[in-house]
Amino acid sequence: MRPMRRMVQGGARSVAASVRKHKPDYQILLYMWLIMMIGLVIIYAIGPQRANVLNNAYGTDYYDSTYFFIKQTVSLAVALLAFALATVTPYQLLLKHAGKILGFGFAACVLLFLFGNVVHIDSIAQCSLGACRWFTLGPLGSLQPAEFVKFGLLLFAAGFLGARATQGLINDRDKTLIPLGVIVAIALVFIIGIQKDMGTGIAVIAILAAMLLMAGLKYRVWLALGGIMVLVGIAFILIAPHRLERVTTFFSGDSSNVDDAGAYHIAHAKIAIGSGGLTGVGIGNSVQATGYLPEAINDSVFAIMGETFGFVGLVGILGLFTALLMRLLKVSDHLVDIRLKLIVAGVFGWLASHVVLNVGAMIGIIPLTGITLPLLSFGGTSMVFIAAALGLSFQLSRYTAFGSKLESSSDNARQQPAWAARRSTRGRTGSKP
Amino acid sequence: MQLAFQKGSRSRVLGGLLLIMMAIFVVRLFYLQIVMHDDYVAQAMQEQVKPLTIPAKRGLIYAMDGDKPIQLVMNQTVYTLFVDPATVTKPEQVLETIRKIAGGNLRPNLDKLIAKKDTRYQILGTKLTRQQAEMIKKEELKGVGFQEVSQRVYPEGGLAAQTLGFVNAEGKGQYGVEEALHDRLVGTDGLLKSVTDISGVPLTIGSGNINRPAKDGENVVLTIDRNVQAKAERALAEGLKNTGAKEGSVIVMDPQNGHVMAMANLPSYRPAEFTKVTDAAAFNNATVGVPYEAGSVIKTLTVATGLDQRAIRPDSTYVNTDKIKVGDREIGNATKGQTGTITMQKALDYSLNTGMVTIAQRLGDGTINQQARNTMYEYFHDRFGLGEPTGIELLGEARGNVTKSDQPGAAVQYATMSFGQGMNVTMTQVISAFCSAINGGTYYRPTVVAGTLASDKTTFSPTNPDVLRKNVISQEASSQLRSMVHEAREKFHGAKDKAGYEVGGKTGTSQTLKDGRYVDEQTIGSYLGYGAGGDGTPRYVIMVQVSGKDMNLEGGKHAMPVFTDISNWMIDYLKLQPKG
Amino acid sequence: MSYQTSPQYYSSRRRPQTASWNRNQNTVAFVSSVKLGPIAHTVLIALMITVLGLVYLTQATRATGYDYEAERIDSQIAELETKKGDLEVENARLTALENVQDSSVAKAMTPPAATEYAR
Repeated sequence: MRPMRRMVQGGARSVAASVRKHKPDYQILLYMWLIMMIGLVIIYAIGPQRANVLNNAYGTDYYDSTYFFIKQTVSLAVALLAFALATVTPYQLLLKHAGKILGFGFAACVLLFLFGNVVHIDSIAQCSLGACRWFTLGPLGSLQPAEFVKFGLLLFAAGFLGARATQGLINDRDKTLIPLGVIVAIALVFIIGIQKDMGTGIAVIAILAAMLLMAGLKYRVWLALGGIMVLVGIAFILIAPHRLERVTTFFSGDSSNVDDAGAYHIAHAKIAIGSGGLTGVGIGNSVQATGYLPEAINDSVFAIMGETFGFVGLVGILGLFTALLMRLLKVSDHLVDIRLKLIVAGVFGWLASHVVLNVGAMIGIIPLTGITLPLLSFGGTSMVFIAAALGLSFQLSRYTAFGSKLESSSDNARQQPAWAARRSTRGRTGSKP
Repeated sequence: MQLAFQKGSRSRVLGGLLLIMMAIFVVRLFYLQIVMHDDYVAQAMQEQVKPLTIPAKRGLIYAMDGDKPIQLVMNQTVYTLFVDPATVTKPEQVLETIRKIAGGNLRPNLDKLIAKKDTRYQILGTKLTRQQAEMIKKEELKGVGFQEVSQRVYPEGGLAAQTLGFVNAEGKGQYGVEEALHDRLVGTDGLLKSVTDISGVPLTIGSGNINRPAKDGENVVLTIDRNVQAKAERALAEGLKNTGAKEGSVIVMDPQNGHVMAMANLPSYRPAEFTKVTDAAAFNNATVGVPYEAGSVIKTLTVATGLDQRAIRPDSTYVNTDKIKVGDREIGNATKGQTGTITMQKALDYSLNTGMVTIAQRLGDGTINQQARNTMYEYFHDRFGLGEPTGIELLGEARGNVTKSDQPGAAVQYATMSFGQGMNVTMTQVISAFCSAINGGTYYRPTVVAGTLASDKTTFSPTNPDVLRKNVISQEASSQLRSMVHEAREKFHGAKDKAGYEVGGKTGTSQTLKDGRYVDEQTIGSYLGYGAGGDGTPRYVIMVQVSGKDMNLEGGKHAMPVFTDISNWMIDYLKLQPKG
Repeated sequence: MSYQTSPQYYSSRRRPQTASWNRNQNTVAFVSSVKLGPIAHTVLIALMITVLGLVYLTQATRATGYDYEAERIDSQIAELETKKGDLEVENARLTALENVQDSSVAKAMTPPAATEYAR
């Protein structure tokens, strides 16, 4: 790294335009593909067990042994399509309509609330235990509005924070933090409050946290916001008994008995992982997937992989995720346009929060939140949106700049120290009579 | 991968956080998968490996039907109907349905049982048939379940009930061959120790699976011939009806191999309904379990002893005065008037006690001295097996009692023993001894087991007759005895037998001890005899015994007709060739 | 590692140190004329791993699927055996003496008046 030589004032947009479009970062595609393939293998391996568990539970023979494999293959195809679509759709277009996407997400949430919690139309809104998270789309599967909210918020916040950062107002309470806070609060009310989806809520927070950090928010403010979030989180935990249960389960640790559901889940995830040993029991030999481990095919797929592939396999999978995430960070780091930088940072936060929350819960170091493991878990919506987000990052990886070009147009956080941003903000507000 | 973050970039912070998190994960995974591996494998095994007992099928019991086995005791799967009151949603519908389909198998107070919401298991009905269970299953009632139970069924009803015994609710054989041969019948339960899925379906995953198949119990074929048994039961029931006697027993035995062809006792019961029996005495097989003073039928054995020792011959004579003094006791005859010099044949014909005491005396030096007693003990106890269990495969065989020859007062006792008093024996002991005395001197262990039937239910492996002792008496003595017993029957009852067949028999009327005294108003009537075809080979031996509280029952009057009935039937059944 | 050669034996492999080349050594380095870019490498690796994954999949035993099939067949066998047992019991009941003797056919029968035997 060479020391910074000069400072060029001017809009990031004009500099970005000056970055020549080049080849995208194919490693993003490679890691995503590998993770997807591993996921497909594991679904193939435990599909028959899962089908049988369900057939036994419902007394049908609706699910045959390739049911899940075929559905997952279809999901993968759709996800790849979404990836391609996000790659070719100009980011300018997405940024322009970010507000509409977010608005659509909120509207969908309201509809879901109406159908699910107010008029109770079970054929449209899919609910369990009073938490309605999905629209049923008949043979097309189901749709989770929260994912739209997540995606919309990612784009919207990128545009918003990008603009504020360019103006040097990123640390401004009234112009930046409070408006953003309101929008996030609305999203969280829907996702955590109504849909009771703690995992997705935390993912939303993680997306914004990553973006704010990259946007140059002061560490102190960032940490303060984090503290507030923790307090809010504790409040949410305290008002919902099932969450409290999960947390107490978590803190009771390895000694907890397996009588209550949450403890049962964690205990069996650990049994699955622990019994895998160094190299695992091998494909098709997972016993925990035959009904012992809840959600074996969705949220607990990491534990099943631990049983099947062992320590070696899990470290490999974590390695792939780490590689993908580091790739994203690198792209973000080298993007010139602050909005694009923030988008990729948000994708990083999204993916990272899912991986950390899911894996952490499975190995018993984070309380269970019921969040999918991206690209591996069975299920369409999550995979499609993650793929779309990665597709967008893939597109943006064509605009990275290296060397002098980057330095000449580096982001505000680096170019403009926090004190400078604060001063300029004060100055501006102060100048108004 | 080249991670060229810019200096001072916040990407470094995020990247650092991510790497720290991943490092923690890897360390935790190492702990879980490598350090604690064995611990978790043990936990997994504990919940995944379920030992399943594969119940062995209890062996079936067959009878003979002529020369081929036919099933007498079988297994049937029946169903116990239970509900989980906590999950039953429509109790009225459940009750209505099961009442309609299985009304007769239900327990009382169903409404109360099904209303016990705090319990998870209430048995509503037992012994439902498969059809009933399937009909109820079809209704798909919530909270209703079935348990398979194997129970014994008896296609022949109460046939040979005491010989068979029954199987109690715990699957344990009770009485008869069911208890005596329990170990052979019960088999060995198999064990399937396998990794299973959560619903208990065994999986082929894993290497430590144990699959030890169940070893079903042996299928035992009894020597009981169901036709002979049925005839014996019918004849005995008729005999009791005609005479008014309350209790009776019949044994039909093949003297050439010790096979018990029929063994009937009244009163009896139906093994399928053993729970309804109020008096457990009905379970007892009196022919093996109840020793008694056999009375005059023993005279055949005394004569056999005399003949074998050459102390007498059939035409040997003695002077009968209707009484004889032994020590300080005077022994009289039940049948009086045949006084004078008479043959031993006549003494047997008229069942004269004096004749038997005379034989006992002639075994010694004219008195029942030590030598005479030793000889009698040797024959009665050692050779004929009286006063010792015979080893028949039935539960509760009594030993009986034959006093040793060197006991004080033995002379008088041995005098009475010569005509069947003063010793306790079972019918099985007597009939087995008699068989050996008339078949040429071979003592076969009496048996009810003819062999086993392989699991294919067609391959019959017979068990060889168990010869316990050879030359119990000589061939010559045996044939002499046979003709004497034949003559004894011929003299009074010959007209009742089919012409051309050699049938012999001896009555017995034993006084019973009442308050320590022999009394005449309560006697047991018995009859012991054999039948042979034209070739003179004895083919069947029948022993009949009838009794009743305070009843005066005589061998000739009350037991003999039953013998005659069965004997004539046996000649037809065995297709014996007449003398020609 | 060192060893001594026996003075009697002189290996033909041992060449004087002065030789400019040694045996069993390629003197020409092979250089591929095809140059692959990073994208092609990436795609190739991805495809190879996919193929390997598929091979692994087809090789991996999925016995669990058959376990349930076996269980189903086992329970079918058990059910059929129960049915067979029921029929056997029914058969035995129908041919039992109790039934045969009480049947209308048996009641109408009379014992034979005389039996003649072939001599």
